Amino acid sequence: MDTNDSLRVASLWHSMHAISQQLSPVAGCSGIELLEADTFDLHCFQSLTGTKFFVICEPGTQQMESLLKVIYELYTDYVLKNPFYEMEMPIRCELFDINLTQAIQKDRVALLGR
Amino acid sequence: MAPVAPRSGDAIFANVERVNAELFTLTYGAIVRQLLTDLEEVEEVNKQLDQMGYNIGIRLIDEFLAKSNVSRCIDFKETAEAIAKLIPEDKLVISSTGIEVRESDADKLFSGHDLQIAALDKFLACMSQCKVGFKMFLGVTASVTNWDADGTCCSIVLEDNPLVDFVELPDTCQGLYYCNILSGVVRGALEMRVEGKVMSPRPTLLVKWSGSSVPFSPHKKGVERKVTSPRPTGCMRRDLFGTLSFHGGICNMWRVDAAQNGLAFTYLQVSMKTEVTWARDMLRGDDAFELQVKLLKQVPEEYPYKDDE
Repeated sequence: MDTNDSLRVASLWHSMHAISQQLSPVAGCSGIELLEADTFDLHCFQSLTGTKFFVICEPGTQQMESLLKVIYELYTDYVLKNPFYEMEMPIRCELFDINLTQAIQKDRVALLGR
Repeated sequence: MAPVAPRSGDAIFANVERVNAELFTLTYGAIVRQLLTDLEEVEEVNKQLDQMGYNIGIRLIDEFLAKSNVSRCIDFKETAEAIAKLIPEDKLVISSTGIEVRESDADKLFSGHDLQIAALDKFLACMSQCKVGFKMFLGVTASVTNWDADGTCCSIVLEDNPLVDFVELPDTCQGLYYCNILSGVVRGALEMRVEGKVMSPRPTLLVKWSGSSVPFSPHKKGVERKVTSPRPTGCMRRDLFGTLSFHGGICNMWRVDAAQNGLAFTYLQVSMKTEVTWARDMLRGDDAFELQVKLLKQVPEEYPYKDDE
């Protein structure tokens, strides 16, 4: 997925997330946490500062919430602590990408035993 | 997934990688000295240190939230206490199931201005987390005190300060706030949109006890009592901080029953604009380091779409 596509998905998701807070019939809704579709699941985690992390995975994948928490910690370490990263800009931090791939691999091994 | 309990500052501090304290002190000292050489004006240096701290603060807040597992509903108890502070006792109707604001008065109590004040519970909650933050990042024990009557202003008192080890201010730098970076960090951290509960004003506010075994009866005259069985005993008092508390009864957790009582809580990203100044500075001869944090305004985040009016 190239940058333009990911920006498009991200902005679409940001709007949907915000609208869902208004639509919710239950008071105190803080947004969409899980979107289940035929061919994929979308898990979303929103930090208290409003930054949203979402993961698209195969339907029925477990433990995505803990993966999202790990990703949040990687973000605070490798992205926010990089002095050359400008806030709110697309993330182009190599260390973040490397550690992200490692975290997903570890997760995949743990889940599937592969 | 079961919610994870928030971690204490000590626990997190013990687990992070650490650097030599003297290296930290020397590095900060070198920064201040260089700024003084470059900018020459003490006021400019203060401003620049604050700006640097601000840039650090807006990044640090996410790490703090990630590591300390602070939960979204920070404390219903704090919310209820904050609300209780706002309501004068003679407007309350106390029954065996809880405390009710008399309907005709509720509208007057919750005007637009009060809506802003009602969101102060977030500021309250954030400030109590400041202690954890200072411990986590600096290893410093801090305490939050001196809340004013509105709940918009408080002080953070630092017991020690690693930045100022071995430092003495010369006569030429008398206006310098040497640790101004810390005030910037606090300001930046609070500004990051932290999710807050904002209350929509509705006619009735009902604060319920979560347990039924909370017997009480108010001693204050003029407070209307709606008593049903079992007959309450014990007494309710408002203490110096405006917190309603019970004596002689069992007080369980406060619970604000939103759905039943038409009190709507919405989660909004709330950005808190604060002003942080030094009230006491040991380098200037005071006995401790005290930061005064004053809440200027809370700015809710705008939605990415426009409401058609």
